[in-house]
Amino acid sequence: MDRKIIDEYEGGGEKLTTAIAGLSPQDLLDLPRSDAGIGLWSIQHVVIHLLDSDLIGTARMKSIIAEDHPQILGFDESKFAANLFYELQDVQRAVRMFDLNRRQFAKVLRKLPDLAFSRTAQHNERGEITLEQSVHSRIQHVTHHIKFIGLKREKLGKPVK
Amino acid sequence: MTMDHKIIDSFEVGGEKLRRAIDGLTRDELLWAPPPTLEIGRWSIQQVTFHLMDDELIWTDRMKRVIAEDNPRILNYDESKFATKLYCEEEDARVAAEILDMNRRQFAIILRNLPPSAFSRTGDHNDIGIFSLEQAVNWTAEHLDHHVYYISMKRQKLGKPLKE
Repeated sequence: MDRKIIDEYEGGGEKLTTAIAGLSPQDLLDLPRSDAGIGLWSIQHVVIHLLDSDLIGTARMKSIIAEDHPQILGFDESKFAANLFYELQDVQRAVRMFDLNRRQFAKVLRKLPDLAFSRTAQHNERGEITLEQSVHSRIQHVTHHIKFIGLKREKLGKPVK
Repeated sequence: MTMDHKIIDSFEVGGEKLRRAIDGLTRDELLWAPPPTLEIGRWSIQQVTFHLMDDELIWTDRMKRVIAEDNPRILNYDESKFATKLYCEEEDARVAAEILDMNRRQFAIILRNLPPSAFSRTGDHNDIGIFSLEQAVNWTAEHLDHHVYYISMKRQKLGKPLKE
């Protein structure tokens, strides 16, 4: 178990904060053209999606740590994005919450013995997953979306510094 | 049906209530485990605060599913195991209260924009059975009030009563 992944997990909030720095409300809500090949969601949609997904991810990891091989359920990210008023939510607060939640949960992860990262859950769509895989999956999820935020910023003429 | 929007107001300020409830307490006071004979709950104020944050985030996830998906399956979790296995004694209760506070303010935006009919939408919980969004909002608000009441009892025993 490489404990550096916990640092990387913890730093996700800072990366997201940097990724949206300097954008106006109009920039955040700009919908990319479907032929641009940079995703159909606005940057604001991506940020709120990351928060929703991360809060669910944290709850799952807590279950894996505290319970014995819990069952966990996938969620419909498209329906969340379409029905939870992503365009009306407070994007700055979403990023602060994402960041604080990761910093808080990183403290829990740091206290765990290496063995705990092999603990498992049964996901109704993905099958058996370990805690270590879950942490990796959280890191990759943010990295993936930040790459697309970067592409959207370029199209807006406001590349990430 | 009509949803009383005062419930959403009450839900939204829950985080503020919790922040006030733990304000001014030392680490030792937060970690004080009341003897069972006092009958004010056995958890420390610290454990109660982390339980509220964990439960809050789980119930918000459930309510989002109820709003966005069709009668979604909802699974129970073991709150006692969460309270004892996630190292909450060593963490900062103020951070937990802040996360809860931000979560309530953010989720209140969603609740305020829903049409009245959405509050009749349901989820299917493996222990509770079918429940509506309106019930879930009420339960979540009442759950916090219930625990804040017990925090105030614990504060009285600590000689640091909650200021009105």
